[in-house]
Amino acid sequence: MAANEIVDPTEQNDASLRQKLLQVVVPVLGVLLILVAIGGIGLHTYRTTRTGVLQLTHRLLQSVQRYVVQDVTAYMGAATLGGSFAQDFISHAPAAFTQGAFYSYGATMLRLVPQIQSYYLGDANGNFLLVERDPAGKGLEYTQLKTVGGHKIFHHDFRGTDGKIIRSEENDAENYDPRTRPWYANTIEKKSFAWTSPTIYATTKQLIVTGSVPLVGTDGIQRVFAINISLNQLSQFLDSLKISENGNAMILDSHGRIIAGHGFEQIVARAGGDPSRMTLDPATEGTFRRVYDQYRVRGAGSHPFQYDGRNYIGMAQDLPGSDSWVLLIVAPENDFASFARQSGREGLQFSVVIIVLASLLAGLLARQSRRTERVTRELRHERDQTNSESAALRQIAETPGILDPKDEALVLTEAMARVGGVQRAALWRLVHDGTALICEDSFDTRQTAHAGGFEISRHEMEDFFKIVDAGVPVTVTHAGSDERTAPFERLVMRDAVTQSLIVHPIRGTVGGRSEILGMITLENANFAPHLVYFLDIIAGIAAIRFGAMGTTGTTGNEASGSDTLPASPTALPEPRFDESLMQPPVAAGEIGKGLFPSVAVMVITFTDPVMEAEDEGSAVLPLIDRIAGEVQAIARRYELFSVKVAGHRLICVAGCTKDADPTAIWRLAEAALVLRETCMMLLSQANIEPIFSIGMDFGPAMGGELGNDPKSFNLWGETVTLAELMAQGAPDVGTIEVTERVYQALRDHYLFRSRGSFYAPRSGIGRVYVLATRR
Amino acid sequence: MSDTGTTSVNRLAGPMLELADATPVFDESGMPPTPLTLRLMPGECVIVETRDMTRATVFADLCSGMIHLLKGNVRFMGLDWTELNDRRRNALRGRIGRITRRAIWSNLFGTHVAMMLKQLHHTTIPLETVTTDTEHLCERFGLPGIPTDVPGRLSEADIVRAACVRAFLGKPQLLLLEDPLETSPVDLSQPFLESLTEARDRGASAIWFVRDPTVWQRYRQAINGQWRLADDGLMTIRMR
Repeated sequence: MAANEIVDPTEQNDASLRQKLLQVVVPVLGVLLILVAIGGIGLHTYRTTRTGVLQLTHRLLQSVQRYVVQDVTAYMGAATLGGSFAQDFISHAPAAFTQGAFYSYGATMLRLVPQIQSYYLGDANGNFLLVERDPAGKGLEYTQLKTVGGHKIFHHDFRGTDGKIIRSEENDAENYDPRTRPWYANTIEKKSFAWTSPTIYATTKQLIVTGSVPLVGTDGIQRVFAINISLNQLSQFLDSLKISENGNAMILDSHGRIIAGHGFEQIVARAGGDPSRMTLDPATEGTFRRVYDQYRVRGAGSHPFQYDGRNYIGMAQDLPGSDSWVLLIVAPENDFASFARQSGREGLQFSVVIIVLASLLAGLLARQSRRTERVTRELRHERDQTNSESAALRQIAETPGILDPKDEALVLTEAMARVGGVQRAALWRLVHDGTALICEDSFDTRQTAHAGGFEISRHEMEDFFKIVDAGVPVTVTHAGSDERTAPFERLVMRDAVTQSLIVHPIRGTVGGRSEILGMITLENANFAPHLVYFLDIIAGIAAIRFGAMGTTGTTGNEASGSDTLPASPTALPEPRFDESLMQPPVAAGEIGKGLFPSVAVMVITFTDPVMEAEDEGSAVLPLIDRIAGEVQAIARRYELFSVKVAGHRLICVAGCTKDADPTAIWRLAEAALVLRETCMMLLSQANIEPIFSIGMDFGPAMGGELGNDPKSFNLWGETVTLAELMAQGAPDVGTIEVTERVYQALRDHYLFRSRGSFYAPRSGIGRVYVLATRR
Repeated sequence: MSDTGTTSVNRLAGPMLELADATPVFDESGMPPTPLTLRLMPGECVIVETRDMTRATVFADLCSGMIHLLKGNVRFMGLDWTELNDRRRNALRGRIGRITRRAIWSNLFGTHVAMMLKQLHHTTIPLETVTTDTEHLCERFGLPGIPTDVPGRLSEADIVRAACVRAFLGKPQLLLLEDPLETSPVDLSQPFLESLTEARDRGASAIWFVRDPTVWQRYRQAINGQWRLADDGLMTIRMR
C-alpha cells in the first residue's frame, strides 16, 4: 500500500531539503552577502574618496589660481607700478635731465626685471626715446629720434654693462612719429594708465603688450611713458606651472584673444604672428573654449563640466592689474580622482581574494556538513538495518513450529526479503537425489504474495545445479547474460522481471555427513555483504527443516511428485452427475437449449448452524432431509422447472421456455414465501437460528442439457449470478432479497421494501428490494 | 481479491501505536488531563472498555493525532504526530481505519463515495482496484454491492455494514474500532472478526472499544490486552 500512497508520511524529504538548504544555500548566500557588502563598502569608499579628492582638488586649483593670479599680477606689476614710479620720477626731473632720468630708470629696470622688453618716452613735440636690451650683447641699446637735415633718423647708442658707449649706429626713422602710435594716442586720450593691444615686437619677434602713462614734465610738455612687457615670458611661466598631469592654464584678453598659455609658440605660428587671430581653436583648445563660454555666461568661478565623455574641472578668474584679462585653468578630473579609482580597484582585488577564501571556507563547511549528514544517514540506515534484523530474528524466533516441517515457515522468506531489501526471496530444496530443486516457498515483495511448489530439474540447467553443488554463495548481477544462471532466469526470474541473483547454499547433515540440501535465492537484492550471517541463520533453519523432511517424507510437494496415489480405504461410489432435487420435466416439452428469455431464478444459501457438540452434525441430518423433502413438495406445487442443490446453495428455476412465461416469476415468488415460512418453522422447531437467506432475479439466461448418460440440465448467465448475489447480500437471515426486475414484475401483487441502490462491477448500479409478503 | 492472502513486509520493528504520558487538553477534548500510556505492537489487538462511547471517540481522536496534548506524546508507526507537517499528518491518517459511533456520514454524496474516498484521496490505486476491493468487502459484510444511495436512505444495518467496509478498506495499519456489533441490528460478528484477524495477520494493530464485555468473548483467545478507559485515565485489567 505504501507504494501507492500519494504522500509517504515516513519520508524525510522535507527535513532533507531543509538540511540541504542549511548546508549549501546558507553558505552560498553568506558568500553572496559578503560579496555584496564588500562591493557596497568599496563603492561607498570610492565615492567618498572621490568626493574628498575632488574637494581637495578644487581647493588645490583655487590655490594654484591664486598663485597664478599673484604671479601674473606681479608680472604685470612691473608695468603698472613701474609706470606710476616713472610718472613721478620723470615728471619731477628738470627738463635738462629728463632724458637722463629716463635712461637711468629704464636701464636699471631692464637689468632687474627680465619680462620688461623696453621703455618708450614720447612727447608732444614728436621726440622719442627708447631703451631696450642689446639684441646682440649683454648691454643696453639707447635709441633717440633725431632730425638731421630735416630728415628723421634713429640714433642708437650701444652701451656695455659698465654704461660706456661701445658703438653707435643710425638708421632712417622713416618719418616715425610717436604721437601717431597707439600707445601714445590711447594714453593721451585716456589721460591715465592704458594698455595697448598685444603686438609683435619687431626686434625680438616676441609678442609684447604695452602699458603707458601720461606725464607732464617741469617744462610743461606733455609726455607719455610706455613699458613693453614680453608675453612669451608669461607663457613660459604658465607652462612651468604644474597644475596636474594634464592640467593647463591660459590667459585671454577681453576680446578672447590668447595672451599666454600652454603651447604659445604653436598658437603664434598658427595665427601667423597676427595677435588678432590668436583665438581659441575648438579642435585643440575645446576644453578652454568651454570654460571661457561658461565664464562669459556665469562669470568667474569654478565650472566642472563634461567634455568628450570625460569630466573636467574648469576655473576662470579675472586678473587684477591687467587689461581685463582672464585666467583659465582646465584639469581632467581623472588626474586627481584616478588614485581613488586605483585605490577602489585594489580594494576590489583584495575583496576578491577575501571572497575566494570565504567561498573556499563555505565550500569546505558545506562539504563537511554534507559528509556529516551522509555519515549520519548511514548510521541511521545501519541502525534501521540492525532494528530490522533484530525484528526479523525475533519474529523467526517467536514463530511456533519454525523447525517443524509440517508447518509452513513463510516467515523465513519474508524475513530475508525484508532484511535484504529483496524483490523475491525463495527457499529451494534438492529432491530426487539432487536431480531437481523444488521451491518450498517464494515470497514476492511487490505482490506481497507467497508461492511455491514449482520444480526445476538438473537436466534443464546443469550449470546452475553446479553452482548449487559447489556450496559457495554466488552473486550474479545480470542473471540473463550469465551462462550458468541464464536458464534459471528464463524459467523462474523472467516472470518477476528481476535481474540480479544471489544463490546461497543450504548445507545440512544427513545421515551423519554434511551435504547440500538446497539453496536460497534472492532476486534484485540490495544486500549488504555483512548480512551473510543472516542468510546463514536462515540456511541453518531451512537445513533442519529440510533434514526433517528427508527423514519423515511428509512433504506434500514431494508426495505429489510420486507416481502413485494412496489407495482409498473404502471404494468410492460412482460419481453423481446430477444433483437435482427435481428433474426437468422433459415430457412437458418445455426443455430446450440456448437462450431462455424470462427465467426466474431463486437461490437459497444456508450457513452452517452453530454446533455445540460434534455429534450434533449427524443429528441435524434428518432435519436437512426433511427440508429437502419440503422443497421438493413446494417445487411440485408451484410447478418449478428445476431445483438443484449445490453445497450450501439451493437453486430453484422457473420459466425455462422459449417463449416468455409471465407466471414463472409469480410462481417462484410464491414458492419463496412458502419455502421461507416452512424453513422458519422447521428450524425453530429444531431450536436452530434461521440460517438461510434467499435471493431472486428474473430475466434471460442460457441453459441446456449437458453431458451424456445421464444428461444434466444447467443454467447460467447474469440472472443466475444476480440471484446468487442477492442471496449472499441479503440484509438479514430469512429475508428474500430481489432485484429491480423482480420488483417491477411483482410490485402489484407483493409488498417490497427498498434496500437502496447498489453497485456491482459486472452489472452496474441497480436497486435492491426485500420481498416482504403478499398484498 | 487483492486484500486477502498476503502478508505485508512493512512490519514495524517498534510499536505501532505508543502513547507516552499523553495528557490531553481538557478544554479541547473533554477528557480529564490525566496521562495516558499505551503501547501497541504490530499485530496486537487490545480491548478498551468504556461506559461512554463518546469518550472512546475522543480517545480514538487522540490516537489519530487530532487532539492537542499538554505533555507527553503520541507516536503512530514511530512518528510523533506533533512533529509532522499537515501534509504528512493527513497522509499518515490515511493508514488508520476507524469505526466511530459519531455520525460521520454526509448525505451530500452517495455512500460509495464516503466509503472509498479515503483510498482515492490518499493513494494512486486505480479506481477499478478500489472498487473491486470495496465490492468484496461489501459482499463479506452482507451488502449486495457497493451502496450508492446517500447514507440517510440506507437502513441502520446497512450503515453499520458500510462503516465496517470503510474501516477495513485499504489495508489500514491501525484499526480504531468503536464496537459495531453491539448496536448492529444484524449479526456481523463473523465478517467483522474475519476482517480483524486478517488485518492483524497482515501486521495491523487494533483497538476495539467496547461497552458490553460480552461482545468480544468469542474472540477472547486472540486478545492481547484489556484496558478500561475512565475519568481517571486508562487502566489495565487483568485478563481472566
